[in-house]
Amino acid sequence: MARDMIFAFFLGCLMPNRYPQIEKATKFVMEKLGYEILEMEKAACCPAPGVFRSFNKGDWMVHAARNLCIAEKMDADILTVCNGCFGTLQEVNKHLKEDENLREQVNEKLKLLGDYEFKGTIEVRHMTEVLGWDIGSWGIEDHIVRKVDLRASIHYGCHFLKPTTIRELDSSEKPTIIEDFIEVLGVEAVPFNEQLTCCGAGGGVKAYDGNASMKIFGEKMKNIDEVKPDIILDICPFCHLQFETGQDYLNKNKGCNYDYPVIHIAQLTAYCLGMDAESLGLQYQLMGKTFDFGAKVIKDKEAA
Amino acid sequence: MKMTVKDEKIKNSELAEGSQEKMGFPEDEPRIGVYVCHCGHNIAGTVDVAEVAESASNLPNVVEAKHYMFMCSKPGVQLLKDDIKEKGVNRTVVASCSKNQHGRTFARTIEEMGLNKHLHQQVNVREFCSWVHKKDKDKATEKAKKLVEAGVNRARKLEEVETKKIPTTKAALVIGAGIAGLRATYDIAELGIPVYLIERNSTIGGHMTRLNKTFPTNECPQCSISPLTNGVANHPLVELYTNAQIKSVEGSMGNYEIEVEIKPRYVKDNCTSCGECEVNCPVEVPSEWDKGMSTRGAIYKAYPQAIPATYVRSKKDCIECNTCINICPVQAVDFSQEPETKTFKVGSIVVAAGYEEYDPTEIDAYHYGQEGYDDIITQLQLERMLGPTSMTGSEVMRPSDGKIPKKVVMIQCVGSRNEQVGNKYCTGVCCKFATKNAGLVKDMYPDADVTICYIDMRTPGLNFEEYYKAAQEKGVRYIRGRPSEILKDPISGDLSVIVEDTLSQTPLKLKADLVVLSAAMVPPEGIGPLGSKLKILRSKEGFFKEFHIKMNPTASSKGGIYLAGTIQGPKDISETVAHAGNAAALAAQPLVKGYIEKEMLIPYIDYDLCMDCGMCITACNPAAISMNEDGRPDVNEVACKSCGICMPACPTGAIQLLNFRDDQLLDEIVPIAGGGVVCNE
Amino acid sequence: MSSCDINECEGKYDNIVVFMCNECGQGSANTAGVGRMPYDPSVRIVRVQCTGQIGPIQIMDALNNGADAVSCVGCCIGACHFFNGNLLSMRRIKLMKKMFKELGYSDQFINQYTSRAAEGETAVGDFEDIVERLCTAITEGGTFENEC
Repeated sequence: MARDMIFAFFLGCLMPNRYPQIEKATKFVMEKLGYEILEMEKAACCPAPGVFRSFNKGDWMVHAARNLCIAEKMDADILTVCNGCFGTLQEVNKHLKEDENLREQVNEKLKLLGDYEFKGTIEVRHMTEVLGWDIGSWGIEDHIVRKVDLRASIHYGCHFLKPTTIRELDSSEKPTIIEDFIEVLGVEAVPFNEQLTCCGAGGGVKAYDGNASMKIFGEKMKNIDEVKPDIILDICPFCHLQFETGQDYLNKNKGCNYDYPVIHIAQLTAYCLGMDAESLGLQYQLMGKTFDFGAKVIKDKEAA
Repeated sequence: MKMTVKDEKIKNSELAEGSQEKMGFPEDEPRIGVYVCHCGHNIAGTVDVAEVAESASNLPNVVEAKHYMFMCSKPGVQLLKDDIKEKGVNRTVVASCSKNQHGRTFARTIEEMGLNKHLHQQVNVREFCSWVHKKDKDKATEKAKKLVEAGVNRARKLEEVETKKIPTTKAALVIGAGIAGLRATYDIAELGIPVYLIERNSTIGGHMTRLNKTFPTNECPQCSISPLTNGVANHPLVELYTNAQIKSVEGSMGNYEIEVEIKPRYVKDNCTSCGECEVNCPVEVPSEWDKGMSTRGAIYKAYPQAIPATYVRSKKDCIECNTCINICPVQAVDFSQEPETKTFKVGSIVVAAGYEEYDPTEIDAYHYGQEGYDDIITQLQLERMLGPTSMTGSEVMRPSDGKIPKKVVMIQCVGSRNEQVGNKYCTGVCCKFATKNAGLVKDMYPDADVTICYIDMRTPGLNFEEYYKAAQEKGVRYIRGRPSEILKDPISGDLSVIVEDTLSQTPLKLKADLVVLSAAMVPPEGIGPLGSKLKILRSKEGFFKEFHIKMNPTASSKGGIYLAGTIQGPKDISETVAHAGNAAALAAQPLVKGYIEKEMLIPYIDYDLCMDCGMCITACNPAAISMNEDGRPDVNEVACKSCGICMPACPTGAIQLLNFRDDQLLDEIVPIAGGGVVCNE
Repeated sequence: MSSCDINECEGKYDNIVVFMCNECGQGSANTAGVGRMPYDPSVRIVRVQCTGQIGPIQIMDALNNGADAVSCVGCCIGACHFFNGNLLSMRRIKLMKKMFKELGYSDQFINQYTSRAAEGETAVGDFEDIVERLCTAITEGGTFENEC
């Protein structure tokens, strides 16, 4: 199999522990699209870009470089479905590739951890990039089993877009990568106010100051509620967690009555590529337990 | 025939030989006179002057070594004169103060005695020795001895440098007919010098004619500039060419030859400016002059008061329906006109190509020019809306729905002080024009909320603090903070500006019906090709670089080319006018005088060593070196600025600056560096 | 940069050649003189048109003839009277420093500085730094010695 069809799948921490359905959906999608997914043995926490970097940037880099080295040994690009992991690994990979001195310093420390040396031979990819650019709306068409008529509010998440100079996306102020992709799946993107602001979870805010986190999130939900989407679509398990538990919190403590299903892009794509609704695991999520995907299907090749 | 440097040198030496022979001393042998000055106690108090003079007398070629109380006094100078006459001294070394202070005095003295003034060598033993080493007299004396020895070594090989008179062409060329170009043109023409004024656009007056009011007096710019536009257009010594661009530039300071391409107007001069053609033209395109705030036909006049008043046809927009040809009552429209090329011979060039407003589309977060964000405009567009000839009848209207905005937010420093877009500099006039426009909007609509978001308010100078205060009193709200983004509500379509008021540390979301961006001044389009044709250097910001930031802000890197106005950097109108006036004065100087006097302290090339690599050509900042017809580098003696930067660039040491040649510098370095260890193989 | 006790090196050097440009370089040294600001008598100034005129030839000439340290002092960055001579010189000295280091010498005894004509302190400060760096070079044992 060609080198660019193989990915080392970096799981991270949150997804395998709390949302195994996203992992399942990701593997389903990637295999359907003809990719080979490899497990990364001994991979550790990415570590989180907000918390760890703020305390000790040097060790944060070393730790991330170790994860990168594992993938380098496998000679495969890293695939992640989490903005935090993407943020850390892509940034460290870019810095170490460009800065010779930094690379030397990090390699010096890596020796203490075992047989690791950063060489800079791989790339770090987010699943959204792979779907939006490598496969693209033009390439997914052939694989689609069913289309769904949904109105989705998209949440990009901060680490996927910024810092702009490191991520090098086409636009961090007006990104369209997810919008363009989901259009083919039949999903309509519903823009809402202050769409690109933080969900309130990242940067250690959720853990350190729950009230502040919920204040940011409450603002976000108010803006989403104005446009009444069918689902909230995200691309990061941590944002996923925030949208899930956050709605629950607001319902219980602030008298809100939200019940928007929270769907990761892997889940949505998996469903459109033929995974059964039960495997999406909505029944294990806090919100949208009763949401019926089947009612929204507009075209079903299998049924036909 | 232009004489080469070598011919010139031969001619000089012959002359000098004749004069030396009259005195009865052989010329080929250097006869050096050394004079150590006491400068009262200033030097003698620290340095043992007698000892220095004594040691100097033992140096080769030294025929006279003296010390005297005040060398710059009349008797001191007489010492030099006497020795030149009686002892045949032909090079003088005076060890006293700095070259700037009395170097000139002694140089003039030997010039009076018939020697070339460059044969004097000044050694500074006061500022560089006695005054700074007061506590260590022995070491100071030692140092003085070495400095004098170095001076004597240097004097031994000094060559004569001739001062030449170069006749100039009595005419000037001004590029650009904005306020700077017009001012410079008028000032030069008033000195009786013919001026060719060339303008890229179809009308003259530049950005100033687009403005609604000028700060700090809020007067009408059209009224202020029209005496100048009319004065220039009707001046008997000014030849005005619009739609014209520089094709090539040849020559150097005092004598330039410029080729200009003039594009046709397709309308003859008998046009009566009646406007029938534009009324009937079926084409409608956004007007460039109006910054897209109105439309024009394919045949048009930029604005009613435009000079020249003749209409102009845009070939690229025209659909050739021939309506205008048929409708013109005086048959002025003529599609058969061809571009013509003219050649001008001038002595000086003034570059007044102006600026361009920064295009904020690059700043993604402000969404300027993006679909659905019509109500975000620039200050120049607001000026065009407020202007007396605007399509809105001088009302401020939202481009999206034509409603009068109730909330106007102005954002400062768009494209200035922004490293992300590569512009570190402060444009320096945006605070003033935003204050002006905010005040005007507030005057027109007292109920409207007008807010200015700024980083720092910069309104320096006479009357401007008062102007700023007056705007505040009118009720203009100033918020200190740079907006992070402009948001659009997807449901209502309303704009809001996200900014932190950094004085109270409060994040704000300002609702805005109209957002006005105070865009920076940036170098105009086409400055690169223009610069390479003129062979002048640019600053890293992209503007043309001045010769010296303080002392010569209007001269360019090349002699005979001067910069006027915003082409050198952002300026307001009063600064531009003053700048242009200075450029005009400098440009006119050599033309009024009729000649340029220049010391021929230039490099010459040993063609036996030269291998035609062209490194000196790339090193030369004033572009004084070029390849001649034989493919060999040639020094333009007029353009050269005597800096010597070409010397280290040469891989074979073929190019050597007169009196600063490698061997001459070596002679000076040897005693200074210690002198003991000379490698002899 | 490690600083060292200047007195320790005293007597170990006596010739420091400083090429100063005709504009700000000479101007600042003159201002220092007028202000009677003392500096090391080993410092000797050569007047050149622009520091951009000084190449490896002049620097090696000075070192070959016994100079202990060589420096160029030009105008401030952006204020060169010949546009970019000071930058050219700065780049050239940087390259020479690299070369010296590769050859096993210290890179502390050839330097480039800027000064302001109106402020003699800038020139004196440059001279003091030259001496300090030379001392570092002497203690490191990498000074240039003529071997012929």
